[in-house]
Amino acid sequence: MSYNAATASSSLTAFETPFSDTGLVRESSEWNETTPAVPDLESPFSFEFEAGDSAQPVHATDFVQLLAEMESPAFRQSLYDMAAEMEESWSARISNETAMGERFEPFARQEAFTYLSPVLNETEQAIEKVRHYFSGNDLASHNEAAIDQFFDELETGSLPGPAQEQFFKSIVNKVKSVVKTGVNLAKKGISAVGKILPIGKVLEKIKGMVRPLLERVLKYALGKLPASLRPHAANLAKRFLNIESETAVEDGSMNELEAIETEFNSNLAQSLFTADDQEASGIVYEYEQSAGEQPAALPSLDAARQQLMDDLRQGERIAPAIEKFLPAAILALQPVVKIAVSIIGRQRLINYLSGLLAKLIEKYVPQQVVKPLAGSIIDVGLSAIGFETSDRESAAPGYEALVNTIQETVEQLNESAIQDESSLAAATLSAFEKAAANNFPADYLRRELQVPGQQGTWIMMPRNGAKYQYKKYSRVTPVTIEPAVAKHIMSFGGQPLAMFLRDQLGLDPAKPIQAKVHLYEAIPGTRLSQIAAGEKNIPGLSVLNGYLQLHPLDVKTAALLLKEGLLGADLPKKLLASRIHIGSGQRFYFLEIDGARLRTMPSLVKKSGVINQSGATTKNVPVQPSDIQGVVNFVKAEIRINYYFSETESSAVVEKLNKSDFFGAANSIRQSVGNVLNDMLLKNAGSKVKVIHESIPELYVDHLEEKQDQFMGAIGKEAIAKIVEKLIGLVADSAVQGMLNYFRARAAEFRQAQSDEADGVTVKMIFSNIPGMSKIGSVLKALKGSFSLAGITDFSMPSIPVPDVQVKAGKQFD
Amino acid sequence: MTVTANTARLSLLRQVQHWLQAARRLQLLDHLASSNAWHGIESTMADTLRNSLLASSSAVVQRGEQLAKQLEAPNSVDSLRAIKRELVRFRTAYLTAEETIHFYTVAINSRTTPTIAALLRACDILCRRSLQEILQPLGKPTPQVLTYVDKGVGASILKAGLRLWDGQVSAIAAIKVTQHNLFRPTAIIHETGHQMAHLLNWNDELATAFQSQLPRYAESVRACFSGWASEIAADAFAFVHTGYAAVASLNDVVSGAPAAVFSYHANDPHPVSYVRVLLNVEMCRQFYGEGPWNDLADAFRYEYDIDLVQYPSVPLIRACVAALPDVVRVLLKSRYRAFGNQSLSQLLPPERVSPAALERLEYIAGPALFNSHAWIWKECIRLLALTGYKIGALKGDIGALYRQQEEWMRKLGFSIELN
Repeated sequence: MSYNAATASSSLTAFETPFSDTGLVRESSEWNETTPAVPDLESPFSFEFEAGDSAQPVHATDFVQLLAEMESPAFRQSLYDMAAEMEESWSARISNETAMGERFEPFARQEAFTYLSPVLNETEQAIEKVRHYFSGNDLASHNEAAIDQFFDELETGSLPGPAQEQFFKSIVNKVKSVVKTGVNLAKKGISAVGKILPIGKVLEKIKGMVRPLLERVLKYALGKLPASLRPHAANLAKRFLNIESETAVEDGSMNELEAIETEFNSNLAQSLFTADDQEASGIVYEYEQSAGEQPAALPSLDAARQQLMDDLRQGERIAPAIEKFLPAAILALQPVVKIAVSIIGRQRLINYLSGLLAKLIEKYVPQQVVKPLAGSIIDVGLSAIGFETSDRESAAPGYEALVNTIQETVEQLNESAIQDESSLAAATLSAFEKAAANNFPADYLRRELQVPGQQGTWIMMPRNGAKYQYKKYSRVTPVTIEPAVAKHIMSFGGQPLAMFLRDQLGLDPAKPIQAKVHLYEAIPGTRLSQIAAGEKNIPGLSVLNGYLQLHPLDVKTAALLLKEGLLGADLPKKLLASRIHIGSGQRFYFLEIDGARLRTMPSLVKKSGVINQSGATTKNVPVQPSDIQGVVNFVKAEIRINYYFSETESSAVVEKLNKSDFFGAANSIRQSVGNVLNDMLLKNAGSKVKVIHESIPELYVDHLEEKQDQFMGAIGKEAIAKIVEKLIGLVADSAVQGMLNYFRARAAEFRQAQSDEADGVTVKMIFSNIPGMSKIGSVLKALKGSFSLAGITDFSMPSIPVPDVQVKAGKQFD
Repeated sequence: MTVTANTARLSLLRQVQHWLQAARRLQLLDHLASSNAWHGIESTMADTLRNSLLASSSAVVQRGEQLAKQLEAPNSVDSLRAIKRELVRFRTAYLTAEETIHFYTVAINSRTTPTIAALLRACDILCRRSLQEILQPLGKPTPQVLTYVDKGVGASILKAGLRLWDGQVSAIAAIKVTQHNLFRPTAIIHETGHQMAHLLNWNDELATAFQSQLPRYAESVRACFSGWASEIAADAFAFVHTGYAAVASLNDVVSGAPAAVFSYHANDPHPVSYVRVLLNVEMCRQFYGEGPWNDLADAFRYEYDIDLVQYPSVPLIRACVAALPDVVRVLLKSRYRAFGNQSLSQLLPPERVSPAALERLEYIAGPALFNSHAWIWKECIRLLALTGYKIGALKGDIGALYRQQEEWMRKLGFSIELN
């Protein structure tokens, strides 16, 4: 038997459309002419600033400098890890989340409360200690070294795991940045004139913000964070800086955890830069209040899927069953279509689509067809998926394939598809083909839709969990990874696979590596941590931080690794920046390598009490792979590139130095810095280069909104990106030479840092007082705002001075 | 059915139920070993262990359930007799499964504290790595190794791939590390050597080589070495991995009462201790030349002066000692099918762990050697060799060396994700 879309398509010509052609065209053209492109989404946040004049506040530069200091990927990582651990704590105890219905959330909250209480208490107590220490004294009298020492000595109590420890450490660092900024301002005599709040008051406000912050993390874990948080977070700092902001729209430039951090940091900074206690209290109050807001109650996609499965199984009429399913699917999956649907007539569209989809799937719905389909799916996935004996008789995988196909068809529809009936029919058919190819075994597909030589199909997982969270490909492929290939396969953040194998698995990537490749696909709401947690039967994946071993499988990677590009999926580049932000439909792989395990080390976070004395840490932290960061600071006319050499890489360099193999050492450094790390930075400048500029509180080019200017398109963002890349490119070239000179003159420092027990070594190349930076800064300001662009034509790239070099043990990014 | 038959049936049913409930308790793995102990085992190995223990108990439970089912309905006297015979077999099956499960739960439960667990995980890694270094180039998979700590003088191994008490095949190798040797555990590499020789079938090949390649020596001498082949193979494996450290440690372990050092038992696979220590010293001499092993041998000969003792084994021992240079050549420099027609010293050159190479390692890595997780991960076996060499040659503060060994092993134990 084969699935034949051509037959389905011809039968559709006889299908009576519920749309009248004229009506559809007229309504959609009305939409084009009169409806604003972006509607006003209802925000749960009531906190609004008055639009002021365009003059920036006096401390705009101090403000963005503080924002930049506080921004930290490690903090977001800790939020992600805590959300994953919370989710594990509740999902381990329930068998079916959908069946629990309304009882689920109170239950999950109770579990989360138990998990979060220690970290909340410890963090609040630490802030209280800081407040106590800094309140009594004249703020200006504190010197930087003493402040550092005070904060270094703040210890966590008995936090149960490394994610909470990292959270605690990150909050303490943020508080330190606020205190230091306060001290500096005090030294400038600013606090004396009442432009900022006394530090004790500020710290009191910050303490009040930890609980609402954790509430947001819980919402994130529950998948209940309101979509409007992102635009709201993006606009907070802009409002303070009197930068004109775009209409609040979800454009995906910032992910949920970035939004949580951005909002928190902006509020922290604002509580320092507010002269009025009442206003600062207002910030905390609003932050607290909005934490409790619930997003508009969306119908549950899982419940709707279950209902559709049940209806199909029970032989209900197909079109009405799909009709019931579509509203939930459209709302959950397609915000853009959702908006358009409300305009062109939701019911009509749903009627039309359900009729069309019913026609397409109807011949697979009868029991006598769906059971062999399920059998066929189970057969191809028996070994890789771990179906149980009881599953062998089940028709569920067959119904799942049908429902997935319908859902993924809807997911692919976009605004342009619903212009009129014929384009909707065409788009639906094409989306349906793709969706069917994803969910049906090869035997059921026309030859041109099959992945050559692959018999597998994508199956909902985990089979015995509280709910489906991802898909797994039902075939596991053995491969040999040649060293040259490992260098060219890129993982998240532009990290070469070879680096992952060397640094995080402790393997020698100069030798061919035998691996079994497991493939996964994200469904709406998937987090990589859920895949790792769900794959209990795969050796080495289901461990703490196991998700760090999942890599993106785009078409190029699939071609290199599996010799079959069609198993990969290309998604927007922003979904390749980090593991904490992935998208539905994105594919990933895990390498099962005999004897290889994710390398870890005991946490070095200071703890009070007895916990760490006998090495009795209960959990480890993963070792860090080599990495790079750029900081372009227009406020200080300074550019920094921070090179982080993993422990494995730095020890290999020291080994060569100690063998007096200076040529070998220089060669490895040139290779690592010049080819690998600089390349990672240049190709991912949008997410790896922090930009400090009073007009860019977003800090990263990737966070800038796509300003669709009527005449220039997205020129602002693109031009800023080009300038930043150009600057980094200039600096990166001289950084290679700077690094070699440094190793020639001061290798002992590097040796010293490498012998420290911290993980790896950071070498900071600091290019200060760069001539011409302020001019480029004003061009950026023009690009960002509505100033004249006249200056853009006559600026040139600066000449780069000789860098200062600082070396620190551990990963120390700015 | 008579009343007597019914009484007998009920009695059998009671007995079956008794053993069945006991067998079901064997399935509660978390009751058998503490959760802390399970937590101290690397996650993949913990899964393997759980599955294999459950396989042992499930087989017994299934057997018991079948019997219980048969006893639910009335039975004839004949069938009751058959059931009684099966019941006896079921009891035996229970006891052997219990023996198997008890062995592993005691081993797992020895991970009493996080520190002991970390040190034992380090031992697991050392054993597995030592195996991997030889098996991987030969294209063989490396079995998992679980080490456990126990009292006593000598280490021991329950090899992977062997039939256990209850007939199941052991999925992992279990190696006992002795309390006294926890911070000087070269003996576990010797035990891992048994696993290697078993997997590559080297023991038989080596035994034959001792018979055929030592024609200058008496048949009694050749027969001795041939009979000792399995232990000598394991010593050779420990030597190529850890050099003099293994030799010094062996000396300290076997240096007991003179009667034991000179005692010879036919059919004992262990060489006479006197011969064994000098055999190990000969390995050092052939590969490293002069060194602290000479002093060790002198002291050993002084302590156990063969001219002053009258044991019946003395003439044989003298003859064996005279053959040692050739024995070591056969052992380490002859080619074997087991090693892909290479010699053991070609496959794992002992020079990598010569005192000079170890001192160079210490020099090139600098102070990071015992501190950096990258160095510890990469060079764990050579670190074992280095510290063992220094302790064996009395180089430096012995107390500090033991502390250093504990510290880096603890770090190694924490370098993999736990259960």
